[in-house]
Amino acid sequence: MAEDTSEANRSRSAGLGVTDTDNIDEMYLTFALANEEYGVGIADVTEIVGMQRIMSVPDVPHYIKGVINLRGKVIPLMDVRLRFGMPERAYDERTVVIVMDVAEAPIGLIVDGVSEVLEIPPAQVDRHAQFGRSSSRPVIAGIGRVGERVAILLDATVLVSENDVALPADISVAAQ
Amino acid sequence: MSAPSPEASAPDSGLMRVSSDKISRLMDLVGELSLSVSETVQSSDLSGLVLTNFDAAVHRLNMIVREVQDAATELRLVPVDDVFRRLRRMVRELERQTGKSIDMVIVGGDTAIDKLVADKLYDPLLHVVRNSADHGLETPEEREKAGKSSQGRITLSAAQVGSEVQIVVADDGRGLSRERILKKAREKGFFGPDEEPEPAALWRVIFEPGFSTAETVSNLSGRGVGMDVLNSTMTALRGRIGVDSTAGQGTRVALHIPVSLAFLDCIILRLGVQLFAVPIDVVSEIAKPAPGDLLNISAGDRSEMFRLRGNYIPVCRLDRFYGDTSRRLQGTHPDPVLVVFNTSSGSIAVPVDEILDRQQVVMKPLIGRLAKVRASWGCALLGTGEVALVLDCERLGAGVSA
Repeated sequence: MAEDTSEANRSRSAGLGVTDTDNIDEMYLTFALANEEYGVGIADVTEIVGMQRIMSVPDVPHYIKGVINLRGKVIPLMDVRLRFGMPERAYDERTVVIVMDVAEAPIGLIVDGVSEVLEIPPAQVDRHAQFGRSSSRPVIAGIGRVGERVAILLDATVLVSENDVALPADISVAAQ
Repeated sequence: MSAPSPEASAPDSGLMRVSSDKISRLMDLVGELSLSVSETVQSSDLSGLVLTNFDAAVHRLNMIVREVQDAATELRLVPVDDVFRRLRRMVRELERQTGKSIDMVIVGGDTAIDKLVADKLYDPLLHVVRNSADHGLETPEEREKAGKSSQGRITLSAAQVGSEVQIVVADDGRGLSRERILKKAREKGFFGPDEEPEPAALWRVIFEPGFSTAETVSNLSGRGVGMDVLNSTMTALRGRIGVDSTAGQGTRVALHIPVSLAFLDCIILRLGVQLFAVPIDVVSEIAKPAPGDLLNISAGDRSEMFRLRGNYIPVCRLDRFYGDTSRRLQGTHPDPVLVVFNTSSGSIAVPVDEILDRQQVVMKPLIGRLAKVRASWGCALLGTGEVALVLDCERLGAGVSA
């Protein structure tokens, strides 16, 4: 199969495999962070829950806010705003937790609110792979276009990893 | 021939195979059930109501939940005999290789132990048994000269003691050589040249990484890795090792292992907004420091000591240990309590805001983003639905003395 290097990179990401023709791999759950819209592959999402009581845990980076007990499962919560170095925002009734299974471990993403599930075929995804401007695998898998709307598609594996993923300044421009 | 394993026995014995996934699922559900019950019972909607009959029903419900929990835990218990039988086969092999005649005695094979524990026990036990057969037991000629029967004996026994299972490997061989072990331990820097350690402290060094006194490395043992395997497995199983030996009469290695890895008897502590749980058996005492009992030592690495009945114990502040900058581990109580833990590197005192409770907690492993949290066994789900971090006091203690 002919693939450029960025293609090879992406197909390694669990659940976001673009070579898979399964429809679910073209489905993205989109969510809001400030006025930007992001998306993660729906295949990794196990459920969406409202904000719950967070219990803090020591020895984790500041963007890991703690854990929740979701029906007997201990799930660490990542504040995606803090992960991207965006300003912190008080949680409100729209704040939700997207619970995902990434690399066989659960993680909850705290986001400003979920929008919808979009089907974005690979042809409508711009994959520059240039956003990170570094040799490491970028957290942005691509920019998805659906009509007039744009969603920044995230690579969940990188998002959850310990790599530094501060977004480059031009991402908000690209998202416009 | 040994008896067939339970799985292989005839269907009329009433046994059935159940995948461990299904049992894990059941355990999770039982955990959820007990949480939901306590959520319901402690619901704020009920406050101020007079609930005579309700309270009686709650009491009954709680009892049933506890029984269901016990029954679910029991599902994972298997007799330790499965492991022992494999060892018996191994001993026959050892007899052939060493030319020694070994009488293997098994006691308490029906002792029940968590399947997860049982699966991990074989390798470390094998090393202990090998050591006994290879180094502990003498050759038939030596034994006869020493007035013993020419056949050596290795006794493998298991018994439940409280919430622990004690597995003992005892041989009637020559015993550990104090002279040789001490010489080697001094060479390796475990003891000073003039230090005369207590026997128990000396025997313990044979489990230290890289320590092996076998003068000739045989293909059976003596490479110094076996004891490391034992050590690391015991750490993973939250177990302890004890060694006792009498020259000329034999060596006894005792492994103390918790019956179940799923539930743990813990004391719940609070520091700042964080809850911690510690296994009850490592807590040696709880003290309230009087003014002047805490001694700051600015020299060196800026340490702090706690005076307990004339002895000074190093203090381990969790906020400092974890390098906490969020102030979430900042003590909030004006006069904190000191919990003293027993660790193999000595006692340590950990200041906390308060001691909340003693309870059986459900253990959850730290996975994904939590895997790197230091000095912890895992997360504990409390009856209230809260999550506490289970402290591994051994590693805390090692961190303090390092």
